[in-house]
Amino acid sequence: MPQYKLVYFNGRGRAEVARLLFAASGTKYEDHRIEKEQWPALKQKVPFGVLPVLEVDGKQYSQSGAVARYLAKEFGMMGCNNLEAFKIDEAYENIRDLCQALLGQLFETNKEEKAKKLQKIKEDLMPKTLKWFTNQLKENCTCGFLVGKKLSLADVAFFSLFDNVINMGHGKALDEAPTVKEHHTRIGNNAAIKKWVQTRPKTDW
Amino acid sequence: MPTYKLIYFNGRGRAEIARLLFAASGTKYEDCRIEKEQWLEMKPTTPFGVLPILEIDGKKFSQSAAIARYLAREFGMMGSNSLEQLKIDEAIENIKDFAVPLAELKHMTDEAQKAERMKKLREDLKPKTLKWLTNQLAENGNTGFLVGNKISLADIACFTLIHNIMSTGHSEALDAFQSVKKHMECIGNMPAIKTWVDNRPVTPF
Repeated sequence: MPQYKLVYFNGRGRAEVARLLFAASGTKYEDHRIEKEQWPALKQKVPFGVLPVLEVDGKQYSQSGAVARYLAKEFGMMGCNNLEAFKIDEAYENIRDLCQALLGQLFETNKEEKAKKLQKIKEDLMPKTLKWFTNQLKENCTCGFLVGKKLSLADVAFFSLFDNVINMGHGKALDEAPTVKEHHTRIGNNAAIKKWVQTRPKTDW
Repeated sequence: MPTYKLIYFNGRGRAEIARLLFAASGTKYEDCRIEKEQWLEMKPTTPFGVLPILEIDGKKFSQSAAIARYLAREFGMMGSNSLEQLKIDEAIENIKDFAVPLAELKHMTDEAQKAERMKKLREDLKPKTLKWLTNQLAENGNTGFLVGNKISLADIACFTLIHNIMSTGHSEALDAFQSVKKHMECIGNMPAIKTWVDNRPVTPF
């Protein structure tokens, strides 16, 4: 088993999917959280000047998407064949697009742009995403997972996204997508995930 | 062998990496290019209302990055083990973080935002990405490939980015990054890739 160390700020942000994968698979790792003041010095030493970084036996890798897909594959959470891996990857990218739009709207400083972005999310991206995921759950109706017969990166990332959606005050959106809401609750009740969510450091983001 | 159909507009855009993967691996596929008017009609019938779409034996998948990773895995161009796969994945995400803001530049209309974007590209994203690629080529023993000892998705993505930069009148951007320029030329001279690039439709994007 390699030695894993995940380096990030003290927040969920771009590292939380990786942390959830470690938790769900029961894999030990060092959850290394740095303070903002430590970042300028560390930035010079990491491959791309960004976090998170995953160290695997001391070798550093960046890019949260690549890290998530690697860990999912190592832990048997990337599907049972290449087509399942593709479906999971597609789901993850759809989740990421919504995440990016939500963050972009949150951090937008121009009032007019901010309102425009919120409207686009409410009227287009959010309903479109919820519809895609509802269809995906219905198409894969056997076991209550997004893809295949077991928990995958798609379920974990989707759970994490909607956790953030609820924390950002958009939880009402889930009320209009009961299939998705039920999936979110069920993944949250996975014993290992529930334990991590209850015991992880409480942070604003 | 599945039946592949790639659907996109008549341009390189988000579909070109997939097309290069098909070309490099010598795999047959239908390169379906649609006009803007056809898209309006087709859009509601697609999984997420976006292109490109890859049809595999009639089943539709979206998200260009997921498509690229799927095809690369199918064609043996995603590394020889999971750490090589992580490295390739990291490389394509780093490339995307530069290529996407660069591509968006031509659609920006607000002059202030455009100036800010150009500054970020010039002072941060471009030097950071080209330096990372230079280091990666050197760390990989100057084999001529970014990762491992054969062509991978990382090489295809890098080739696409650098070729775009060189052929849009910005070749001076590569002056300080000769190994990256040489990598692009070597990949471009591989027979299957050269044949595709020489014969593909010539399009403005």
